[in-house]
Amino acid sequence: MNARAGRLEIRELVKHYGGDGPAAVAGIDLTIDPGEFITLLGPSGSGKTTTLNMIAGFVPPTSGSILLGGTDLTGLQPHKRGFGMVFQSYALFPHMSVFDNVAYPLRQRGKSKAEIRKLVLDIVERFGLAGLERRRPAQLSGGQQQRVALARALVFSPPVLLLDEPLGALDRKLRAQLQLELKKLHQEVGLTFVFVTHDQDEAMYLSDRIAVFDEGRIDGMGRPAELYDDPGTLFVANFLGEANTFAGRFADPRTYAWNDEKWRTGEGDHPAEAVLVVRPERTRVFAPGEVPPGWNSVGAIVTDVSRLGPTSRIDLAFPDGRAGAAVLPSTDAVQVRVGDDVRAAWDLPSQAFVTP
Amino acid sequence: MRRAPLLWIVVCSVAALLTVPTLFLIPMSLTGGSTFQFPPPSWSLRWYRNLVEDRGWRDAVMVSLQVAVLSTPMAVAIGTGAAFGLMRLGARLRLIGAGALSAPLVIPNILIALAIYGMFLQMGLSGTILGLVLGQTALAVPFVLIAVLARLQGYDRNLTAAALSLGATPATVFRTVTFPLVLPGIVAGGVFAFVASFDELVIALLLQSPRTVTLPVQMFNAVVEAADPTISAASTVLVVVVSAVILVAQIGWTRRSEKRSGSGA
Repeated sequence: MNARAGRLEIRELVKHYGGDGPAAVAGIDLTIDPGEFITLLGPSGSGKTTTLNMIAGFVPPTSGSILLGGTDLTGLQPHKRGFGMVFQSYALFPHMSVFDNVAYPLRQRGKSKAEIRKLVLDIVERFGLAGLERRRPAQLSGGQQQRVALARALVFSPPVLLLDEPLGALDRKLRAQLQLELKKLHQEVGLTFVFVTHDQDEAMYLSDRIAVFDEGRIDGMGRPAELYDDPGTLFVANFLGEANTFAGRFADPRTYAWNDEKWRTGEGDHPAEAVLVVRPERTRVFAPGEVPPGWNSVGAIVTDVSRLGPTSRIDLAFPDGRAGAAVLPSTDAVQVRVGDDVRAAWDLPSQAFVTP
Repeated sequence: MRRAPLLWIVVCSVAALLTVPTLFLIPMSLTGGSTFQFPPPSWSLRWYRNLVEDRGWRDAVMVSLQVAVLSTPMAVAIGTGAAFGLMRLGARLRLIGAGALSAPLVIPNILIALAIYGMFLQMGLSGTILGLVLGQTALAVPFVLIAVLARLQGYDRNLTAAALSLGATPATVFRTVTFPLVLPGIVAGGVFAFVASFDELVIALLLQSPRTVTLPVQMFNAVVEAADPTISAASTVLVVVVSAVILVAQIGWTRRSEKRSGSGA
């Protein structure tokens, strides 16, 4: 096997549905290594699902190409691609039993009856569905249906599994449980997973890498923690978690000016035009004059204090009228009262500059 | 769960209103007298014997069956094809198309019959079985179209996508997924088409010739000429045939689903 075997490459992919509207997908480049769990994350209409459907072959791209292990798949019909796919609606065949649903891809591949039986019963057992083989999808719970959909998409050992918001229809508790199962499953089977979701927590929890989509483009890309700490763009900063944002300008390369404040920029490069962002959990609250030396800070009025158990959330109003927040250990927040005039402060490693 | 008594009363009244007049037919057809006196003065099967022995009645039953058996598959084919075609259009065009194809339901039958009559006279189709079949097919198409379209609109297109992703060719997807799921609509449409054709009167009346008298036409003629209880016997046969077709379709369907859920491993 060479290094490219199984690698999924997406090059300059564009989808324009015609008419005057903007492109649904406006030029995507993405290389996905074998065995990687990659998440396409974005709000609805950002092009993530269209991209997935182009990978699956359901939507023909306007231009660009899709390669698997160096082979161009772009013009190939979906049934010849051999990718497994899981749909948000599960798309189980309602007129077939669990067994027949899972056996479906094997029958298309002309496997012998004995082989089909063995493969289906193995995977059904592994997904905790043993004993349900004769049931119809309508006789299963949401979680069981989801497992059947996964078993059906994996039973023929596809090189890539495409998942289109597969947990979107489930309640919160079941969702958390299936996220855990999905993560374990990925570690066990070692397949490439391409996962679409609009849920940033889910993306952070599951993915090796996240591609954040906005208006048909990939706005940010990286490992979840890296992307969270250094989002690169304002959109990613706001979409991936919460952020206090300050749109000022560089007074000089080492000083950032916002309102009446002057902040140190720290080491390292930053874009010429940039917005400063700080995560709420890295923002601290001090009485005026008590800010530790070397920290940047901004005046703020406390608008609300919520004790959430181990942490407390302090809602703030900044001098420009915009809202922000600090999330502190509750032990640090006991003194803070609504209406207090405080300094919201952070150390230099906690701040990041992003393009607007 | 307790049924609300008021609801129960309303349901029973509606059911009675719909079925009781039909149920009067059966005792009337078994009368021993020669008038429509009710209750019958005595009981006899003589009007049924008349129905079988009288050539006019016997032929009429055969013509009706023949026409219904021929026009049903045609209506099913055309209606199903049209439904699949309409699903490929946009919502607005689909509405217009479905409306146009359902026109026979809205336009008074007598107008359709007159138009068909004028046309078939010129084409030499008047008074032929083929003419009857074609005319009744046109009337039956909307029943199939509406039933299949309803089924297709409830069809989750992701099922097609899923089957394709699992390696099935488009033809296999149709055979193994789309068609089985739409089949109840096709069967229901077919049953309605058969029934619509079997008891259609107006077109059959205008297109009749001595060789193509259908059962409803024969009944109409009998009423106009001299009504005797043979018509009650004929009506009973009509009701029984129509009900049987619908019942068999329904029972067959229930059995099938029960059997299917037990298949697989």
